[in-house]
Amino acid sequence: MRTTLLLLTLTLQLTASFAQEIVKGKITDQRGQGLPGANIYIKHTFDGASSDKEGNFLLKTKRTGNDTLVVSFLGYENSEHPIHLRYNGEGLTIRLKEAFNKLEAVTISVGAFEASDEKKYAALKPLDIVTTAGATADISAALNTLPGTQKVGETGRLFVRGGDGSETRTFIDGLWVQNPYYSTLGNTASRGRFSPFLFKGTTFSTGGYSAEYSQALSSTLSLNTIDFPTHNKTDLGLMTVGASAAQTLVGKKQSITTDLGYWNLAPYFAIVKQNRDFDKAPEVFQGSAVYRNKITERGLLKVYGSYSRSIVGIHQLDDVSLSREVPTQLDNSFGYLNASYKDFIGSRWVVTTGVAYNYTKDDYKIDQLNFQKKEQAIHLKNTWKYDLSERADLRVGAESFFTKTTFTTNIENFRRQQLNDELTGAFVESDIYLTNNLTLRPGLRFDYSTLIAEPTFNPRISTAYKTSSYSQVSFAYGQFAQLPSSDLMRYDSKLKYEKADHYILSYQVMKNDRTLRGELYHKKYNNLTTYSGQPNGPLSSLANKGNGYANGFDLFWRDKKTFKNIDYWISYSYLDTRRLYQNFPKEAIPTFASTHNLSIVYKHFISEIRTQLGATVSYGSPRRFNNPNQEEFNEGKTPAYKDLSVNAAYLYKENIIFFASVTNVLGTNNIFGYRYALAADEEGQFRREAINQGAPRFFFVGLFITLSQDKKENQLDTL
Amino acid sequence: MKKIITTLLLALTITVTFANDEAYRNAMKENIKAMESSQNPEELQAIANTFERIAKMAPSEWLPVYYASLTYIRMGIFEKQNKKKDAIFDKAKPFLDQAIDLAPTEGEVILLEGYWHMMKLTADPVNRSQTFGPRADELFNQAQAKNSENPRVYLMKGHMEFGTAQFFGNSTENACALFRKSLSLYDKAPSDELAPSWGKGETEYMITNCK
Repeated sequence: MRTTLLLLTLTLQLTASFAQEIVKGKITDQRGQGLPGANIYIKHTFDGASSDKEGNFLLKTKRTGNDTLVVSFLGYENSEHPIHLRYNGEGLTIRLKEAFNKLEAVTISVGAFEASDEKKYAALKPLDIVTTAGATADISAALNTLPGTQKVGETGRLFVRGGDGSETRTFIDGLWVQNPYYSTLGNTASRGRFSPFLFKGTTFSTGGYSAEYSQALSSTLSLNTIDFPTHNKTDLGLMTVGASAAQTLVGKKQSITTDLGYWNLAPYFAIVKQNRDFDKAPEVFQGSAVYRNKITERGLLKVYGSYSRSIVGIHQLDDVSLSREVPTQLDNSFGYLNASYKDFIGSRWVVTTGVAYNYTKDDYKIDQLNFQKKEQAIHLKNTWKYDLSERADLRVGAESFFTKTTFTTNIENFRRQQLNDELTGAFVESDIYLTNNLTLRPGLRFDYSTLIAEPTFNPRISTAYKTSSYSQVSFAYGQFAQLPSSDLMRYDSKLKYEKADHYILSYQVMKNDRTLRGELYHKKYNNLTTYSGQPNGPLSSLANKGNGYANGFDLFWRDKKTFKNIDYWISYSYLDTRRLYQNFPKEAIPTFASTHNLSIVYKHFISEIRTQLGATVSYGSPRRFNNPNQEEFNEGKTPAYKDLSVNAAYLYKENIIFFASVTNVLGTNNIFGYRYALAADEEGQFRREAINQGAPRFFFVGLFITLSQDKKENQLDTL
Repeated sequence: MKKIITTLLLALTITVTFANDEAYRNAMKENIKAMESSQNPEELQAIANTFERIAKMAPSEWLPVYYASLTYIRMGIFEKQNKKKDAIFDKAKPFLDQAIDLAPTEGEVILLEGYWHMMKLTADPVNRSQTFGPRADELFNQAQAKNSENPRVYLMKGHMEFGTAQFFGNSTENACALFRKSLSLYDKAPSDELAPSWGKGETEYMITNCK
């Protein structure tokens, strides 16, 4: 018994006095840089340690013999090492390999500005679009403060890198919006039809865009709607121009939001004098509905429908002599329906299918002439995305556009004309993540128009290389084709595709809440449509004999850090472009182009008074115009464009916001060009009228209230 | 002699299997205590790593990944450099997701998910208040529905209420009522010594800011 007890005590003592084994070493990345906070442990035990600031670690364990040492660290591949705890537990240096993570891989940003909460390298957030002064919550106006855009104030549309306004296409959830702007008269700037708060993400491409899109020679604007609202709410808006109300109802799997808006500028025009002579101030009625249904566990059906009616009437000088006042009225009806369904099949497939229906009817009454243009378009689209492997995915898609355009007039011999087209498109594109630092995106686009019975193949390629953890260099090359507009095709339906080739080189640095981006580009245009006649009047001799080029340099600097609570960005664009198109007698600088464009956007949140202040300074160098009294074509120069706009949003209560804005505070009389009479007067001179802003300044005041179960939500996003 | 060796071996085997459970509980207890009392980000990183190791040893338990996530959240709170906070909260997410996978209907897990959203909101309030704020509220309500006696529910709701009241210069009375309710519920002993019991000190501290 005593021997047994002695043996037991001895065994216990021996167990207790077993020295701790020590494993020491350093954890580094591939370049030898120490990694702090890594988790080092013996497999299948609790025994472990964490690395310090320099990556050094000290692990103590009671185990001896052969074991496996595991190292894990977020962003890196787990590393296992066989180890004999007695004999080689000291002085280990373990280099971890960076784990391939698609979210961390370099994303190609060349030629595109993204506003997104989700994407890590997005230069903008969706809120930026709505808080930019001078834009009054219009998406295009806000995007006009980014590089690559031109100030073409009399239209309110996007003119990108030497391209005409018709060279930009707009998509909602991948489906085409034929007429995203309200129709206007008399060179009055238009605005976008869609409220920015519908969208969770915006991609504005200034060139070299994906093979998924086509029929746009210059750029695409891709808007993605919000997936699913979080809870019930009522939004009310009372503004100097009208009122709006929206209701959101949310269930477990379904949600619906309906909104109504009515705008009438008559009271405002009675107080603030306008440059144009309105005999019917713009009046707009708008209604829309958004429906969501989580049909399957991962599948989401989105339906968006919108209807609007707008009427405006002005007196303007006649085209021929610019001496007689002519009443002009425009009555527009617009309908848009967009349904898309996205679902995941297995772990590798994502399928999206959608359909969009566009209806636009413009009824013009110009003096004695009645002119109606009715456009209908259906867009059907299917895309499949397949995860080939961890490092590559493939996207394939097919789509059809059915367009029917009808022109009706009360002029004898020009009563009715209809233009139908069926355009079929297909694309294939792949994202290849060669390494974490190098991504390649080749693509091919195919289009076929039944109207002209011609196919077109357009290859595209882009690539990005991460030069450091916060900078990248990227390059894009692409061929783009676009059918001439229906306004031209109605005279000659055998025209060919207009073409453009893009070459873009980009460098971007994003560090410490500051972004610097520079892009160099070269665009070559071919087969642009040329004709005889005036843009408004009947045309003849249409052909694809035009061409042109656009070279330039864009710079973007954004700083959210240097000044406390202040966020500002500066955009500068340099453009050198000439083209031969429309009725140009020779290659010349087009009237929408200006050599230098500058925007400075400033935002400041003052928390003591719960107010967000914003200001935007815009400058555009002189634009060309054609003066028929002069020999040279497009030799006239307008004065430079200058604008200072300000806004303020005051968070009165959690769910109540006061908003006020003034565009062109200094009242600068910006002249965008001149309208010349078609016929010379008695002295052989052509009279002219300046094309200027609707009014020196635009004042806007609004009150926005959100009523919801959760009092804290407000419409900060909508402003 | 053979009998003694067999008995000894048997005793050792029982110790070993019992030790696993005992070791698990001890390791958990020790680290829960360390996590609750530490305000040093480096220390908290090491504690989070320990919870990660415990989780690998007990992959069907939700508590280790729950505490790993909670430790990272605390680490983010005590991190002095604002720039790093968001990245640290992101480290908490994979563990939170694992806890949700293992125990999707557990009230404390739902509350933790709300806590995570609330902290992500504080890292970028201007851009995230419209999405993360309502989501956090929704999750706190769900957690309350699971267990209306959970003191942490009222602590979290109190935090949201307090932050908003301060921002608008309103009275913090509602927030304080929530903190007091929370405090009264802490005195009830938790069912299991490993179950979440944190937050009392924090609640007491918030009450000192009340009148």
